[in-house]
Formats: sequence, structure tokens, C-alpha cells
Amino acid sequence: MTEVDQQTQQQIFDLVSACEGYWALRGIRRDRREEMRLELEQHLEQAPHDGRSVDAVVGSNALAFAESWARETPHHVPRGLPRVFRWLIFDWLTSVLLFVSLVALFEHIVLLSPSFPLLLVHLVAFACLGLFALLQTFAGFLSPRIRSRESRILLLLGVYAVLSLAIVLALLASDTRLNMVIFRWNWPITLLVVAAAGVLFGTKVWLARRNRQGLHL
Amino acid sequence: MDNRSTQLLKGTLDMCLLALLAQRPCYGYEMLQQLSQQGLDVVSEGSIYPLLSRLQQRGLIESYLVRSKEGPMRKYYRLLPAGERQLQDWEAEWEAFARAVEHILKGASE
Repeated sequence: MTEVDQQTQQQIFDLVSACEGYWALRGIRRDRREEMRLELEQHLEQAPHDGRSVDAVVGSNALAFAESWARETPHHVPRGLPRVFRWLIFDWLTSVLLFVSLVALFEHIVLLSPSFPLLLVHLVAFACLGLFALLQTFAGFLSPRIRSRESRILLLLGVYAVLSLAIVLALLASDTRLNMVIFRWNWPITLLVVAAAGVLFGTKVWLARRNRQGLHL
Repeated sequence: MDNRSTQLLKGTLDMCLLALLAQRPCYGYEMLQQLSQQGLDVVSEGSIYPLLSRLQQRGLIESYLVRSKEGPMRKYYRLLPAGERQLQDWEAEWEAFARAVEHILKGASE
């Protein structure tokens, strides 16, 4: 495979992943999303053989393309208490507990600290990680305009650095103490948090696998 | 294709897609190739997918997966009876419209 081919492959992969992430946020069912991904991927892979570029397929605004397809596809927004509850428990809380577990274990094992203080700076770091994950998911929408993955990553890091700096500066300007202690606990509580994170994460994976199997039956 | 043709195709793309599916089941890229062979190039090729999704939502076509020669599944579309009826209506509408335009053009050239 030539270098140009590899670049196009990366372009296609990043774009299709960004579209799929967007469709997931728009509440499109997983099986439907997988079909859409398959269709788009195959089209994008076939187009270069006929001398057509990625932007000839999705246009210069890939996000608008993903949105126009999502609008014409059955989807749901998370409504109703059970759905919101499920999102809070299995997505938000699981991520928070996993993050806190990692930071707490680092404090106990590496820094040999007997107690773990959850500081404001930890929450800021968690928010910044979430922001990075979000930016990374949608960076693929730049594929039609910026062909090289390296350039897309550089731009993403630049945007991320500016936004993170803005958050930290805003907190400093408002005289917020980043080392403010929100909670403090000892080893046994950390073990409980790790266990809870593990149980929630395991249940989330198990549910996702069960749904997937159900869809393929 | 110039801008006028692009606009004309945009307004009739759903009808063209139904007409292609009336001949035989196709997948998305195949439909574009057939349009291109007839001299109709869709500017933003991906725009057929939202359209196919809309036609499917309206119960005019349905999709199914078939294992392709290369290995992975490929999504095909086929026309449903409601789609056949809709295509007949659109064809009649298009013929009346084209006749009217033709009359005006002939009148202008005489």
C-alpha cells in the first residue's frame, strides 16, 4: 500500500469513527449505527478507486453530513427517568469512580499517603480529560479538510491546550483554590471505591455484550 | 455538471433512486454509478444516504444485508409496493411538469 493510500485509510477511519460517535450522541440505536458505519465506510473505500476524494462523498462539512443523516434516521433522545438514571449510573458515575480509583491508588501506592484527599484540581483534571475525549472523538470531522492525521492531532492538541488553559486561568482569576479538599478518606474507602468502579464497569460491559447478542439473534 | 442541473437533480433524486430500485435491488454506491453512467453526477455523493433513510422511513423501500464477494456484509435496498405506487405518482407528476416546461420552451423559440 502506498503512503497516499495509508493516509486515505486513516482519513476514512477517523471520519467514520467521528460520524459513529456523533450518531451515538444523537441517540441512534447501535445496530442501525453499525449499518450506517458499514455503508459509509464501504462507499469511502470504493470512491478513491473511481478517482473521487473523501470530500466528494461527504462534502466539506462532514458534521453537517452526519447530522443530515441522523435527522432522517429513527433516533431517541434520552428521555424518561429510567434512561437518565441508566446514563448517570453506567456512564457518568462509572467514569468518575474509575478516575477517582486511579488517582487514589496512585496516592496510596506511589506517594505512600495513608489517606486520599480528593482535591478541586482532581475534578478539573477529570473535566479536562472528558474534554480531550470529546475533542478526540470529533476530530475525525476535520478529515475532509485536513488530510493528514498528524496535522489533525496537532490542531486538536492546540485547541485542547487553549481550552484547558482558559479553564485554569478562569479558576485562578476567580480566586478558587485548586488544592481545596472536597473529600478525604483512608485505604478501606479507596478499596470500596475501586470495587464499586469494577462492579459498575463490569455490569456496563456485560449489558453492552448482552444487547449486542440480542441484536444479532 | 452545472449548477442548474445540480439543482434539478436535487429535486428529483428521490424519484431517480426509486426508479433505479424498480429495476433491481442495489446498494448505495451502485446507485450513484448508475446515475453517473446516465450523466447525472451527484455533487455530494453521501447525500443519497439521508434520502434513502427517509424513503425507508416512509415505507417506500427496505434494506437488507448481503455478504459481499470481498467478505463483509453489504447493505442493499429494494422497492416495496408502496414505493412502486409512489414512483408511478411521481412519474405522472414529472411528465406533466416536463410537458409544461417543453410547451413554454417551444413557445419561446417559435
